[in-house]
Amino acid sequence: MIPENIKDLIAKLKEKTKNNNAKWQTSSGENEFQIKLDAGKIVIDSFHNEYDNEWYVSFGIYNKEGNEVIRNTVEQSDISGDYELLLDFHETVQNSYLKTDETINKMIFEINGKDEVGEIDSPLPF
Amino acid sequence: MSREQRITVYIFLGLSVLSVIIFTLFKNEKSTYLDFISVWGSFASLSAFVFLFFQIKSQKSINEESNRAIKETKNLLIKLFSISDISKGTKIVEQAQTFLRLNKFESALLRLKDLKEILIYIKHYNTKKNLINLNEYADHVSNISIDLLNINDKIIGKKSTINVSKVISNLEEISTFISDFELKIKDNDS
Repeated sequence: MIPENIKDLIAKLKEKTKNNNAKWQTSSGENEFQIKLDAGKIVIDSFHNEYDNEWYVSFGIYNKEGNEVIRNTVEQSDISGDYELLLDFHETVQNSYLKTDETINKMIFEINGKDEVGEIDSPLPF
Repeated sequence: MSREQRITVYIFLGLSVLSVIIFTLFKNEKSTYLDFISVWGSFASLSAFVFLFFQIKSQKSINEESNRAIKETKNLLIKLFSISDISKGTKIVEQAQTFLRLNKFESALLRLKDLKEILIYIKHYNTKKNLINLNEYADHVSNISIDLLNINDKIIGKKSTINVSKVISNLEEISTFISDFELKIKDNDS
Protein backbone atom coordinates (compact mmCIF):
# COMPACT_ATOMS: atom_id res chain seq x y z
CA MET A 1 0.00 0.00 0.00
CA ILE A 2 1.25 3.45 -0.89
CA PRO A 3 1.50 5.60 2.26
CA GLU A 4 -0.74 8.67 2.59
CA ASN A 5 2.12 11.18 2.41
CA ILE A 6 3.22 9.73 -0.94
CA LYS A 7 -0.37 9.88 -2.22
CA ASP A 8 -0.45 13.51 -1.16
CA LEU A 9 2.86 14.18 -2.94
CA ILE A 10 1.55 12.50 -6.11
CA ALA A 11 -1.70 14.50 -6.02
CA LYS A 12 0.15 17.81 -5.68
CA LEU A 13 2.70 16.98 -8.39
CA LYS A 14 -0.06 15.74 -10.71
CA GLU A 15 -1.84 19.07 -10.34
CA LYS A 16 1.37 20.99 -11.11
CA THR A 17 2.00 18.73 -14.12
CA LYS A 18 -1.54 19.24 -15.46
CA ASN A 19 -1.02 23.00 -15.24
CA ASN A 20 2.25 22.66 -17.19
CA ASN A 21 4.24 23.90 -14.20
CA ALA A 22 6.35 20.76 -13.76
CA LYS A 23 9.33 20.11 -16.04
CA TRP A 24 9.69 16.36 -16.59
CA GLN A 25 12.55 14.62 -18.38
CA THR A 26 12.94 11.16 -19.90
CA SER A 27 14.86 8.49 -18.02
CA SER A 28 16.47 5.17 -18.93
CA GLY A 29 13.28 3.11 -18.62
CA GLU A 30 11.39 2.78 -21.92
CA ASN A 31 8.40 4.78 -20.55
CA GLU A 32 10.16 6.32 -17.59
CA PHE A 33 10.13 9.99 -16.63
CA GLN A 34 11.93 11.88 -13.90
CA ILE A 35 11.65 15.30 -12.34
CA LYS A 36 14.43 17.06 -10.43
CA LEU A 37 13.43 18.98 -7.32
CA ASP A 38 15.67 20.82 -4.85
CA ALA A 39 15.00 18.08 -2.28
CA GLY A 40 15.64 15.16 -4.64
CA LYS A 41 14.28 13.37 -7.67
CA ILE A 42 10.99 11.61 -8.47
CA VAL A 43 10.76 8.82 -11.04
CA ILE A 44 7.69 7.16 -12.59
CA ASP A 45 7.71 4.27 -15.04
CA SER A 46 5.21 1.93 -16.67
CA PHE A 47 6.33 -1.37 -18.20
CA HIS A 48 5.18 -4.79 -19.33
CA ASN A 49 6.70 -7.98 -17.95
CA GLU A 50 6.64 -10.66 -20.62
CA TYR A 51 7.21 -13.51 -18.14
CA ASP A 52 4.10 -13.01 -16.03
CA ASN A 53 2.30 -11.00 -18.75
CA GLU A 54 1.56 -8.25 -16.27
CA TRP A 55 1.75 -4.46 -16.58
CA TYR A 56 3.58 -2.67 -13.79
CA VAL A 57 3.89 0.92 -12.63
CA SER A 58 6.94 1.87 -10.64
CA PHE A 59 7.34 5.03 -8.54
CA GLY A 60 10.65 6.02 -6.96
CA ILE A 61 12.06 8.83 -4.86
CA TYR A 62 15.76 9.72 -4.66
CA ASN A 63 17.13 12.00 -1.94
CA LYS A 64 19.36 15.00 -2.55
CA GLU A 65 22.45 12.79 -2.24
CA GLY A 66 21.15 10.72 -5.15
CA ASN A 67 20.25 7.61 -3.12
CA GLU A 68 16.97 5.77 -3.65
CA VAL A 69 14.79 6.21 -0.57
CA ILE A 70 11.43 4.92 -1.79
CA ARG A 71 10.44 2.49 -4.54
CA ASN A 72 6.89 1.31 -5.08
CA THR A 73 6.27 -1.14 -7.91
CA VAL A 74 2.63 -2.16 -8.34
CA GLU A 75 1.24 -4.75 -10.74
CA GLN A 76 -1.96 -4.43 -12.74
CA SER A 77 -3.67 -7.20 -10.74
CA ASP A 78 -3.27 -5.21 -7.51
CA ILE A 79 -6.69 -4.53 -6.02
CA SER A 80 -5.76 -1.80 -3.54
CA GLY A 81 -6.22 0.99 -6.11
CA ASP A 82 -2.52 1.85 -6.04
CA TYR A 83 -2.00 0.66 -9.62
CA GLU A 84 -4.76 2.94 -10.95
CA LEU A 85 -3.40 5.86 -8.92
CA LEU A 86 0.16 5.45 -10.26
CA LEU A 87 -0.97 4.68 -13.81
CA ASP A 88 -3.10 7.81 -13.88
CA PHE A 89 -0.12 9.81 -12.61
CA HIS A 90 2.14 8.24 -15.25
CA GLU A 91 -0.32 9.11 -18.02
CA THR A 92 -0.53 12.70 -16.81
CA VAL A 93 3.26 12.96 -16.80
CA GLN A 94 3.58 11.32 -20.22
CA ASN A 95 0.95 13.62 -21.73
CA SER A 96 2.69 16.63 -20.24
CA TYR A 97 6.12 15.58 -21.52
CA LEU A 98 4.85 14.73 -25.01
CA LYS A 99 2.53 17.78 -25.01
CA THR A 100 -0.30 15.48 -26.10
CA ASP A 101 -3.25 17.75 -25.21
CA GLU A 102 -1.47 20.82 -26.60
CA THR A 103 -0.82 19.04 -29.90
CA ILE A 104 -4.42 17.80 -30.17
CA ASN A 105 -5.80 21.27 -29.40
CA LYS A 106 -3.55 22.87 -32.01
CA MET A 107 -4.65 20.28 -34.57
CA ILE A 108 -8.32 20.97 -33.85
CA PHE A 109 -7.67 24.72 -34.10
CA GLU A 110 -5.84 24.23 -37.42
CA ILE A 111 -8.55 21.99 -38.88
CA ASN A 112 -11.28 24.43 -37.82
CA GLY A 113 -9.40 27.48 -39.06
CA LYS A 114 -8.32 26.35 -42.49
CA ASP A 115 -10.37 25.35 -45.52
CA GLU A 116 -7.64 23.03 -46.66
CA VAL A 117 -5.08 21.24 -44.50
CA GLY A 118 -2.04 19.11 -45.25
CA GLU A 119 0.62 19.37 -47.96
CA ILE A 120 0.88 17.73 -51.33
CA ASP A 121 3.65 15.23 -51.85
CA SER A 122 6.82 16.67 -53.36
CA PRO A 123 6.82 16.27 -57.16
CA LEU A 124 8.61 13.26 -58.58
CA PRO A 125 12.06 14.06 -60.00
CA PHE A 126 11.22 12.49 -63.41
CA MET B 1 64.81 13.45 30.69
CA SER B 2 61.75 15.35 29.48
CA ARG B 3 60.93 18.92 30.45
CA GLU B 4 58.05 17.71 32.65
CA GLN B 5 60.27 15.17 34.43
CA ARG B 6 62.90 17.86 35.10
CA ILE B 7 60.24 20.18 36.53
CA THR B 8 59.00 17.35 38.77
CA VAL B 9 62.56 16.66 40.07
CA TYR B 10 63.09 20.39 40.76
CA ILE B 11 59.76 20.58 42.60
CA PHE B 12 60.67 17.46 44.60
CA LEU B 13 64.09 18.87 45.53
CA GLY B 14 62.59 22.28 46.33
CA LEU B 15 59.90 20.75 48.52
CA SER B 16 62.55 18.54 50.27
CA VAL B 17 64.58 21.66 51.07
CA LEU B 18 61.38 23.40 52.20
CA SER B 19 60.58 20.45 54.49
CA VAL B 20 64.07 20.72 56.08
CA ILE B 21 63.59 24.49 56.59
CA ILE B 22 60.11 24.05 58.07
CA PHE B 23 61.34 21.23 60.34
CA THR B 24 64.34 23.33 61.46
CA LEU B 25 62.21 26.44 62.12
CA PHE B 26 59.42 24.73 63.99
CA LYS B 27 61.22 21.90 65.78
CA ASN B 28 61.18 21.76 69.58
CA GLU B 29 62.56 19.40 72.19
CA LYS B 30 59.89 16.78 71.52
CA SER B 31 60.42 16.69 67.76
CA THR B 32 61.96 13.52 66.42
CA TYR B 33 63.25 12.43 63.02
CA LEU B 34 59.95 10.64 62.54
CA ASP B 35 58.27 14.09 62.55
CA PHE B 36 60.72 15.22 59.85
CA ILE B 37 59.95 12.13 57.79
CA SER B 38 56.24 12.91 58.20
CA VAL B 39 56.69 16.52 56.92
CA TRP B 40 59.01 15.39 54.12
CA GLY B 41 56.53 12.61 53.23
CA SER B 42 53.72 15.11 52.79
CA PHE B 43 55.81 17.19 50.38
CA ALA B 44 56.94 14.01 48.60
CA SER B 45 53.26 13.07 48.10
CA LEU B 46 52.64 16.52 46.63
CA SER B 47 55.55 15.99 44.22
CA ALA B 48 54.08 12.61 43.28
CA PHE B 49 50.77 14.30 42.39
CA VAL B 50 52.61 16.80 40.19
CA PHE B 51 54.50 13.92 38.55
CA LEU B 52 51.22 12.03 38.00
CA PHE B 53 49.62 15.11 36.48
CA PHE B 54 52.48 15.48 33.98
CA GLN B 55 52.38 11.75 33.18
CA ILE B 56 48.65 11.85 32.37
CA LYS B 57 49.10 15.01 30.32
CA SER B 58 51.99 13.48 28.44
CA GLN B 59 50.07 10.24 27.77
CA LYS B 60 47.11 12.23 26.43
CA SER B 61 49.41 14.17 24.14
CA ILE B 62 51.01 10.92 22.84
CA ASN B 63 47.53 9.47 22.14
CA GLU B 64 46.47 12.60 20.28
CA GLU B 65 49.67 12.57 18.25
CA SER B 66 49.20 8.86 17.40
CA ASN B 67 45.57 9.41 16.37
CA ARG B 68 46.57 12.34 14.20
CA ALA B 69 49.31 10.27 12.50
CA ILE B 70 46.90 7.36 11.91
CA LYS B 71 44.28 9.73 10.47
CA GLU B 72 46.83 11.40 8.17
CA THR B 73 48.08 8.03 6.90
CA LYS B 74 44.51 6.84 6.35
CA ASN B 75 43.62 10.03 4.45
CA LEU B 76 46.74 9.72 2.33
CA LEU B 77 45.92 6.09 1.46
CA ILE B 78 42.30 6.96 0.64
CA LYS B 79 43.52 9.88 -1.47
CA LEU B 80 46.03 7.76 -3.42
CA PHE B 81 43.51 4.95 -3.86
CA SER B 82 40.74 7.33 -4.90
CA ILE B 83 42.82 9.29 -7.42
CA SER B 84 44.07 6.13 -9.08
CA ASP B 85 40.52 4.77 -9.28
CA ILE B 86 38.93 8.04 -10.34
CA SER B 87 41.32 8.28 -13.29
CA LYS B 88 39.95 4.93 -14.53
CA GLY B 89 36.42 6.41 -14.63
CA THR B 90 36.41 7.70 -18.20
CA LYS B 91 37.75 4.37 -19.50
CA ILE B 92 35.01 2.51 -17.59
CA VAL B 93 32.41 4.80 -19.19
CA GLU B 94 33.74 3.93 -22.66
CA GLN B 95 33.64 0.20 -21.86
CA ALA B 96 30.10 0.42 -20.47
CA GLN B 97 28.91 2.32 -23.55
CA THR B 98 30.45 -0.31 -25.84
CA PHE B 99 28.80 -3.15 -23.89
CA LEU B 100 25.45 -1.36 -24.10
CA ARG B 101 25.76 -0.87 -27.87
CA LEU B 102 26.47 -4.60 -28.19
CA ASN B 103 23.50 -5.43 -25.90
CA LYS B 104 25.88 -7.07 -23.40
CA PHE B 105 23.87 -5.93 -20.41
CA GLU B 106 25.55 -8.17 -17.79
CA SER B 107 28.98 -6.68 -18.56
CA ALA B 108 27.53 -3.16 -18.74
CA LEU B 109 25.92 -3.67 -15.32
CA LEU B 110 29.30 -4.53 -13.75
CA ARG B 111 30.94 -1.49 -15.31
CA LEU B 112 28.14 0.78 -14.08
CA LYS B 113 28.59 -0.60 -10.55
CA ASP B 114 32.32 0.24 -10.76
CA LEU B 115 31.41 3.69 -11.97
CA LYS B 116 29.02 4.25 -9.08
CA GLU B 117 31.84 3.37 -6.66
CA ILE B 118 34.05 5.93 -8.36
CA LEU B 119 31.36 8.57 -7.91
CA ILE B 120 31.31 7.70 -4.20
CA TYR B 121 35.13 8.07 -4.02
CA ILE B 122 34.76 11.47 -5.64
CA LYS B 123 32.36 12.55 -2.93
CA HIS B 124 34.70 11.34 -0.17
CA TYR B 125 37.68 13.00 -1.82
CA ASN B 126 35.72 16.21 -2.18
CA THR B 127 34.65 16.36 1.51
CA LYS B 128 36.93 19.27 2.42
CA LYS B 129 37.65 20.77 -0.97
CA ASN B 130 34.35 21.80 -2.61
CA LEU B 131 35.56 20.84 -6.08
CA ILE B 132 32.19 19.52 -7.23
CA ASN B 133 28.67 20.89 -7.58
CA LEU B 134 26.72 18.71 -5.15
CA ASN B 135 23.45 19.04 -7.11
CA GLU B 136 25.16 17.85 -10.27
CA TYR B 137 26.81 15.03 -8.30
CA ALA B 138 23.45 13.90 -6.85
CA ASP B 139 21.92 13.99 -10.34
CA HIS B 140 24.62 11.64 -11.65
CA VAL B 141 24.34 9.28 -8.66
CA SER B 142 20.55 9.04 -8.95
CA ASN B 143 20.77 8.58 -12.73
CA ILE B 144 23.30 5.77 -12.41
CA SER B 145 21.13 4.14 -9.71
CA ILE B 146 18.08 4.34 -12.02
CA ASP B 147 20.14 3.01 -14.95
CA LEU B 148 21.45 0.12 -12.82
CA LEU B 149 17.90 -0.76 -11.79
CA ASN B 150 16.66 -0.68 -15.39
CA ILE B 151 19.58 -2.75 -16.72
CA ASN B 152 19.08 -5.25 -13.91
CA ASP B 153 15.34 -5.45 -14.73
CA LYS B 154 16.27 -6.01 -18.36
CA ILE B 155 18.70 -8.83 -17.44
CA ILE B 156 16.20 -10.66 -15.22
CA GLY B 157 13.49 -10.21 -17.85
CA LYS B 158 11.29 -7.93 -15.79
CA LYS B 159 11.53 -5.28 -18.53
CA SER B 160 11.62 -6.24 -22.19
CA THR B 161 13.16 -2.97 -23.35
CA ILE B 162 15.07 -0.09 -21.84
CA ASN B 163 16.15 3.26 -23.23
CA VAL B 164 19.78 2.34 -24.03
CA SER B 165 20.52 5.66 -25.73
CA LYS B 166 19.48 7.47 -22.55
CA VAL B 167 21.87 5.33 -20.47
CA ILE B 168 24.68 6.06 -22.96
CA SER B 169 23.87 9.77 -22.79
CA ASN B 170 23.88 9.68 -18.94
CA LEU B 171 27.26 7.93 -19.05
CA GLU B 172 28.65 10.62 -21.33
CA GLU B 173 27.63 13.26 -18.82
CA ILE B 174 29.30 11.28 -16.02
CA SER B 175 32.47 11.00 -18.12
CA THR B 176 32.55 14.79 -18.53
CA PHE B 177 31.94 15.21 -14.80
CA ILE B 178 34.86 12.87 -13.93
CA SER B 179 37.24 14.53 -16.44
CA ASP B 180 36.32 17.92 -15.05
CA PHE B 181 36.93 16.69 -11.51
CA GLU B 182 40.36 15.27 -12.48
CA LEU B 183 41.37 18.62 -13.94
CA LYS B 184 40.26 20.38 -10.76
CA ILE B 185 42.32 17.95 -8.63
CA LYS B 186 45.40 18.72 -10.74
CA ASP B 187 44.77 22.47 -10.52
CA ASN B 188 44.19 22.19 -6.78
CA ASP B 189 47.35 20.16 -6.10
CA SER B 190 49.64 22.26 -8.30
